[in-house]
Amino acid sequence: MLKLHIKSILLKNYRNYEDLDIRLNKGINILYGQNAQGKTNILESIHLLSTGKSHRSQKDSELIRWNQDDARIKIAYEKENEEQSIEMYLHRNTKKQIKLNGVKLTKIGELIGNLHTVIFSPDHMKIIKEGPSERRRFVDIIMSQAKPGYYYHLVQYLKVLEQRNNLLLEGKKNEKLLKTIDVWDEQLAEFGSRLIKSRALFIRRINEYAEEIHYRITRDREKLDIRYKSSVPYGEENETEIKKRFRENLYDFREIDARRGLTHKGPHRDDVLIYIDGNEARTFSSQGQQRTALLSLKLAELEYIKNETNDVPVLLLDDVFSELDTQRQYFLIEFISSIQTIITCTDVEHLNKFQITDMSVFHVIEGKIEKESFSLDDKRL
Amino acid sequence: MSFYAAPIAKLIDELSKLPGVGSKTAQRLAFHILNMPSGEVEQLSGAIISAKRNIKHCRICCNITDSEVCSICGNPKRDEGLICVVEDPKDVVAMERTREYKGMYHVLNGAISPMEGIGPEEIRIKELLKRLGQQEVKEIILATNPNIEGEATAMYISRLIKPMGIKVTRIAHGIPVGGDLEYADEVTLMKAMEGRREV
Repeated sequence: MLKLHIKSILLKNYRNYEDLDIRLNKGINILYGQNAQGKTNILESIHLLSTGKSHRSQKDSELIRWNQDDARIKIAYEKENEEQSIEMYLHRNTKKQIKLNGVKLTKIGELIGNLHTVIFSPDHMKIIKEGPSERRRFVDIIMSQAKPGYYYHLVQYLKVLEQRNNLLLEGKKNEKLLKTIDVWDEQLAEFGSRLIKSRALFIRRINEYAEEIHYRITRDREKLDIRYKSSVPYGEENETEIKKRFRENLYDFREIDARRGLTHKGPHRDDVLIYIDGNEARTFSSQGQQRTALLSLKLAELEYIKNETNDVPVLLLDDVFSELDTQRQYFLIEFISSIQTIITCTDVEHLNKFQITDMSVFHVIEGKIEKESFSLDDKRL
Repeated sequence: MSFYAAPIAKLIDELSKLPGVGSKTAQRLAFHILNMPSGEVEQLSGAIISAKRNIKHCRICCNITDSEVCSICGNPKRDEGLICVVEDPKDVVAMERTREYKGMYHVLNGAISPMEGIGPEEIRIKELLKRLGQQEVKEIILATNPNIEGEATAMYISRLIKPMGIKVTRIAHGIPVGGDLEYADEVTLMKAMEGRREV
């Protein structure tokens, strides 16, 4: 397996950074400082160059420093023992430009899969706590990164779904239009069955990793179980079989669908159920259990990307490390020993007890960074 | 709100309704027209009006033409047993450029799209069915676009025609000829793999 690590990050007029150039450690990197100093902005910039999108902002213009017209981000990283780089240029009035190793990319799709990252922020508690759409999003984001065909099928599926729902609405006025419902169902079943099959396989794999990790964190005390709940019940995990069942389901629900003007069956209604010791975590688990389950799930995501893409991703921990209790922190430190990790937190004292040798600490103050180049070894002297 | 005098504002406004023309291009075109000699401007406006007045749909294939029957439908050398169904007159031109296809066409003038309120009645499917009753057809080639609307249209037509015992085919999609495999995107490659055939 090939380890990936970021060597340096260059930010120009990005968020609250006027001009920043930092070199990262191969192991653990700590960004600490008070709130609203710009710690998360650095993680965001890495995630942005990994996926093409910010994990917290919809508009690119928000990424540009106030009063400036353009921003530039450049990340140099090492992969397969070769120096690589990704650059992004953002401008208020023009489309963003991305360069991979100096070559301009024409599609965001070409960017995905070069710099693999896994990001973990407090916001991700939604996956455990909130409705099915958060869990579908979790699945879709990982799978789109790991499997290029998945994203395409998802986009096509949603387009067909939109057409079918329009047809159900318009069909009340225009009866001739209703005659075409068969061909929309057929396409929905075609793309939908592929999504269902991919999701089923994915969740089985993620469950294997998460269950094992969860046992390790809880010292065999808790069993984590992640199950796929498809809105289309199927017997055998076979594309033709799923497609047939889906088509039948759509047919059976036509009348109800027409009455309400929307499609009741299909992957857009899927859910992923998360159980701890047989009870659904969303309603029956304590805050602490939920947090541990999420940690297992996120580390399982890392394992999945590792095994699926043969790259060891960079782990980005946004304000979650200090939320964990000491035992879980020890576990995490051990787990990430061979993974480049970037951690943001408000104070650095609690890290002293872990005897980490491969670590750099950066103090973030109002968009500026001071490297306190102690690895803990120095400090002991 | 415009800073231009009313007649030119109106011209810019009309031009910007054209596809692919934004407000900046519309302005440039409008000023270009203003600077043209009057004779040329009259030729341009005359050409637009004459095209609109004289162009109609072919009685047989629904392609645009200036006569009752278009030049392809009127050509006795073309194979009447073969009909290639396309969405748009531009697709006919694209297909003709191959100089290989010797059959007839049928132009639907659109594709089924509930979002735009376009159902089977809004495109020329009825005309196609009428043709099938009038002439001996061996094969229908569905060459609508490979997007979801084109696919839906192709599927809809094939379901109407297949029970009549006529052979219905769909054009293939996959790797562009003369291209390098390594430059093809994943989805195109995936489609090409699915559509592979024995040699």
